[in-house]
Formats: sequence, C-alpha cells, structure tokens
Amino acid sequence: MMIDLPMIWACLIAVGIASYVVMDRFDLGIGILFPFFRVGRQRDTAMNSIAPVWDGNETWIVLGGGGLMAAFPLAYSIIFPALYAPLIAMLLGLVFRGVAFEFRWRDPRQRPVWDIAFCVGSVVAATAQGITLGALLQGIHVEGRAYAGGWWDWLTPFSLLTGASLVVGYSLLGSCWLIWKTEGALHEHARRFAKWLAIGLVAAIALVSAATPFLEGRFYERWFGWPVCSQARKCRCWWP
Amino acid sequence: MGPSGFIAVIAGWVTTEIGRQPFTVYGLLRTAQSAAPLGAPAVATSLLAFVIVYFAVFGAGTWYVLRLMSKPPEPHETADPSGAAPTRAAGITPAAAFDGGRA
Repeated sequence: MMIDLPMIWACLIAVGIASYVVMDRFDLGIGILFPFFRVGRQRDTAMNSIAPVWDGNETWIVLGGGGLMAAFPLAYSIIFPALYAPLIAMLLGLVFRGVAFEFRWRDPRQRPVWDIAFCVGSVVAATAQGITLGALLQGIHVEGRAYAGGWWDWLTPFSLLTGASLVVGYSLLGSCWLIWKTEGALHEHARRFAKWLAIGLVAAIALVSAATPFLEGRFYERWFGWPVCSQARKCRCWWP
Repeated sequence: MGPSGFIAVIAGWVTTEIGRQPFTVYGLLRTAQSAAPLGAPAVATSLLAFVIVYFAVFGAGTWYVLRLMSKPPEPHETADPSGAAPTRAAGITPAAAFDGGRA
C-alpha cells in the first residue's frame, strides 16, 4: 500500500462521508421521528436542539461529492449517472427539510404543513442515501469508461433493504441525540424510541449482512471461502 | 427597485452560461464532450421536479416576506411572544412570526 495522492484523497473523501454520517445524520433522524413528538413544546425543542448545527454539519457531504468530482472524475462520471434518480430525490428532500427550519416559525397556522415537509424530506433523503449505498454495494454496470446500465438499475430488493436500514439507523442517531440534549418528557420519549430502534438496527445489520454475500460470487467467497494462500499471493492474501 | 438585484444576478448567470457555448471550458472542452451520459427524459424529469419544488418553496418564501413587510413594527415587540422561536439557528434571521401573538 503506497501513500500517494489517490490514497490521500480516498482517505479525505472517506473522512468527509464518515463525518457527515456521524455529525449530521442525527438531524435527519429527528426529522424522521418528528411526527411522533407532541405538537408544541416537544417539536419546538427537538428542532431547536439541531437548528444551530445541522447546516454546518451538512457541508461534509459537499466535501465527499466535490472531492469525488475533483480527485476521481472517472468514478464520479460513472456513479452519478447510475444513481441519478436517488441522488436527485435526496437533493429535493433536503430542500424541503432545510427550508422547514426557517418557514415553520413564520406562521403558526401553517406550521403543520412545514412539519410534514420536514418529516417527508428527511425520510426521502435518508431512504435515497440508503439506496445509494445499496446500489454501490451491489455494483454498477460499466463498459469501457462509462456507465452502461439502465435508469432503474439502482432499484432492487437489496437497495430497498439498505434504504430502510439507513432510516432505522438515522432514527437511532436522532433519538440518542435527544437523550443527550434534552430533559423531561422528550428525553423519556427519546429513550423509549432508542431502545426499539437499537433492536431494529441490529436486525437491519443482520439482514443486510446476510444478503450481501449473495450479491456476487466474490462477496460469497470472501465470506464463506477458506482462506487459501498460493505461494505467489502469500504476502498479500489479507488484502484483495 | 426591489427585484432589480435579483434580475441582475439572474442576468449575469444567464450571460456566463449562454455566453460560453458551445464550450464548457472556453476553447478547450465542448459541451457535447462534457455532457453526462444521461437520457433526455431523465434530465427533463429532474428539471421539472426542480421547477415545481422551487416554485413551491420560493412562492411560500415570497408570500412570507410580503406578509412580514405588510406588518408595521410595534414598540417593545419581541421575536415571538409565544416563546417558540428558534433559540439560535444558522442563517435564521430573528424576524417575527407575523401571527405569533394570535396563534
């Protein structure tokens, strides 16, 4: 393994995406859980707890996407057309949930409308990100140096499973954030959610892990094959 | 004079985007060479979706701005008498909810 520019950039993009998931996705989770909070104090507190941080934290994904375009333009030009529909859906979802932070305070009579926008936008964005992840795992059809699949290649039972799993995972992040940041009824509420969501997340991890080896022969071998080191590959049998 | 700044921004944007055609990078890379291998229906659908979403969001925003402008300032007013205003938020102006007191 050499430390060269592509390796450094791959690490930077990985750090960007990981930071995005850890530091920002609890606010998506709060959006997903929003309908379960009582109208009034609970919803206002939940929203206020993320309002100062969500916008800054969300910028990490710009580093991930921008870095991919700048450092790995070929990968960018293949992955983005392949995942065009879920990525556009994610952006539109983020528009609605982002603007809900501003608009829901403006007119109390229309607050329910922006609460729905906040929740639906969050669910759409989380599902789209999960589908993106699943579609990357199951592979993208490439011929030459371009995407060669169809417009619906990303939509499979496996990608829907990863989409649903990410919704559960983000909801757990959101409820844990509320356990940390709030007290009283909302805190207790979040504690109950977290318990069930943790069980759900473990089940989702088990399901995705069980499905992954059957996506491709190579995955299956990696999981179930006995490690065989031929003489030539001896020194690198731990690394693909 | 209100919308003139907006018109100027849009006009500048249109000038840069149309003025450089048929190049993406002027004199070096043609737009036809740099276009993604996306089908026209896919691009048309996403464009339509963005137009609808932007009309909805900017329509609501414009309506809120006009409502706020039509409400005269009163002495000793707070951001939101109901106390449900955002405590601190990135990019949120501390403007009043225009029906805050009567909700």
